[in-house]
Amino acid sequence: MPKLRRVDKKHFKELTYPHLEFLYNVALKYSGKPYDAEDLVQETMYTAFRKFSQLREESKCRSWLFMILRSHFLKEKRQASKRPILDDGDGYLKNVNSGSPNELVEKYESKMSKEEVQRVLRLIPEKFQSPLILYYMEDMTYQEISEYLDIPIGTVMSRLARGKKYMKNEITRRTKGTSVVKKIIPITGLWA
Amino acid sequence: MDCQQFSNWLENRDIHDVSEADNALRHAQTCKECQAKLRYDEELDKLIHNALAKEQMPSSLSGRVDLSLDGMSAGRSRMSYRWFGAFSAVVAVMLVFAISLVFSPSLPTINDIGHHAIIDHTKHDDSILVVRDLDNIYQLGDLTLTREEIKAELPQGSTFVGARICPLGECLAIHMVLRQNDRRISVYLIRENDMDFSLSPHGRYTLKEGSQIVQFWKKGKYVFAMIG
Ligand SMILES: [Zn+2]
Ligand SMILES: [Zn+2]
Repeated sequence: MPKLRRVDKKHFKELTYPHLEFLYNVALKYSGKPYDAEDLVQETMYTAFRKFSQLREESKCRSWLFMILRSHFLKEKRQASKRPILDDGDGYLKNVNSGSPNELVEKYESKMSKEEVQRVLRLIPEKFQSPLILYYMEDMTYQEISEYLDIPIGTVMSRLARGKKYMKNEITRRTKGTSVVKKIIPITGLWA
Repeated sequence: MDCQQFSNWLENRDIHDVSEADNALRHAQTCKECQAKLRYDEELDKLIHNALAKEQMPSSLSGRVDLSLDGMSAGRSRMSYRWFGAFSAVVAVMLVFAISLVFSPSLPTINDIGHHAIIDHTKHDDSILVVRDLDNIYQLGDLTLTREEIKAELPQGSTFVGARICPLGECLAIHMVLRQNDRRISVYLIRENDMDFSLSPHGRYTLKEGSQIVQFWKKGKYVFAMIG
């Protein structure tokens, strides 16, 4: 018996460890703190090993691990405060004119650090956050994101659109230091 | 397509049909303002893309995962691996995931060890301790200290809660958790050869980081580090 278990563990590691870096990076985007990200990965791997027999197709290992990580993250997040609304703002393109967009962008890059952009991402509810992470970090297609999150492609598209709009608005707002008129849109009801 | 329609398309590209893109781009070619918007949007996209790019994971992560998996089956069966075995397993994983580590085989300094010990001590999950009795500490590694020698180094009046192997950055330590009244104390046992410093056999060293203090001393071929 112990011998069998060891073989299982070896197989488990061979299959899952190549995805550690992916898991760590997703966890880092979710949590923002390297140590919390490590904890999240450790919990994920612990659960994954216990549920290893539930993995039906080895080719689905990466998305299976992602789902476990995501549910761990959501479990933790549920204990923290809920964020029921997403503020889309008035549109980030409003004040762009034909003047000099490059100058604007340079300003953004010096003002908006990587950390700041990641902070903006963490303000968004998870259902927008996860597609954005897979899209920008992993360059996944709509189809792939839909498989990872187990939601229809149309939903992926609308969540990406709203998530991007929120981020771009917020980045524009933070860089300009001006507040846009807030228009609060309840998340439920708009995009099912 | 007019300018308003263009903005609407640009802000919602993901939900619009691909066929509209041609239309929109044609408009942008003839309209300076919309061209600027398009460029601005693309730059914003690039900014987000760069900010969310993958980073290298900490080299200690796979070791941490290893240990939590190994600790897990040990809960059911007898602990079977040895300190050196565990170490080589970690190195094997690091070879795959952290090639940079292989090319920089520098040993941790006393500051590194102290820093990682503080993190481990504060974030440690005591539910996955592997050994619950000081007598069984030899299951964790080939220690050349006797039980009495170890016991003598632990704070007087403390009780032994348990121990396991923990990675302190890039080196492995036996982590003993003790309790003294309401205090939770961690004592780490590290092989002196695994570190880039040597202590005099009679001195005690303290390292302060924030509000935490780590004490170091040496016994035989081992360095003890205590927090709490
Ligand atoms: Zn126009
Ligand atoms: Zn520990």
